[in-house]
Amino acid sequence: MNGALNRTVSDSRLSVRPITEHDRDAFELRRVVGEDRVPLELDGTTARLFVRLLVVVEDGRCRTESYTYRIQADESRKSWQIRWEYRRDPPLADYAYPRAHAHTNSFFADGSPLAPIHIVAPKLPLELVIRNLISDWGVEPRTDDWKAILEESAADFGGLGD
Amino acid sequence: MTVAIGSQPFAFLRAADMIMSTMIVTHTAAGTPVIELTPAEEAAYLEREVQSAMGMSVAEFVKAYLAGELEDGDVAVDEMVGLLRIGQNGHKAAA
Repeated sequence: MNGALNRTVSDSRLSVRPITEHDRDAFELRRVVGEDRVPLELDGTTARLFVRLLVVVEDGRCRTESYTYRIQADESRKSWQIRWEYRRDPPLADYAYPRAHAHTNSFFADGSPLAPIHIVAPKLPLELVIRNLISDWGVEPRTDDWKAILEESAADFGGLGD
Repeated sequence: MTVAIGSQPFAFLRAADMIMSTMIVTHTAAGTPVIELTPAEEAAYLEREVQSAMGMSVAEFVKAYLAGELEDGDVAVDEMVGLLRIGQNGHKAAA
């Protein structure tokens, strides 16, 4: 994943934090600077991408337990603009929201906030978010081959969906 | 390769990816940092994250979330729910 990231849009790298509990191995992926989890820097923009993935190993296969992909105007969480979230299992027994969803930090025409709305969304690979950053958010790709790199990186996920 | 950060040079690390002094960091063959925490460090890490984001302890956050007192769509709440793995990976979803 870092390979695709570093070959397409950023020098930032995700770190891996192993978690051992409940008789399964789990890994948290996020960028760390000092003691802090911080968003990824992106080429050609001051916007940032916060990434947190939690992957568990089951029957020899890696499965995504949860993720947060968050586009931010700057380093701060409060500057978020859009975010995609996924939880394989609901956090509450009566959790009514789609387990994969998006939020946008915007407003309806009547001025009411859209941010609390859980907009249904498919489960996404990080590579698809990176493609969206290039196509719509002004991030500059490092190579003309960026789409092929992302496609290959997302192969285990079924590619980019084209 | 295992490096106790703070005890020896680590020129192969980018400055932006250096880790706190007590953490142990290894690197995969591809150069991905692997951060290992002791249980105590793990607990302190979670407390620090939740305190910073929500101004409350982990126990207070979990209690408030399970009681429906926090807005699930809030950016910080969602991030902490994921970080604490509430309902995930064998953690029974709260009734």
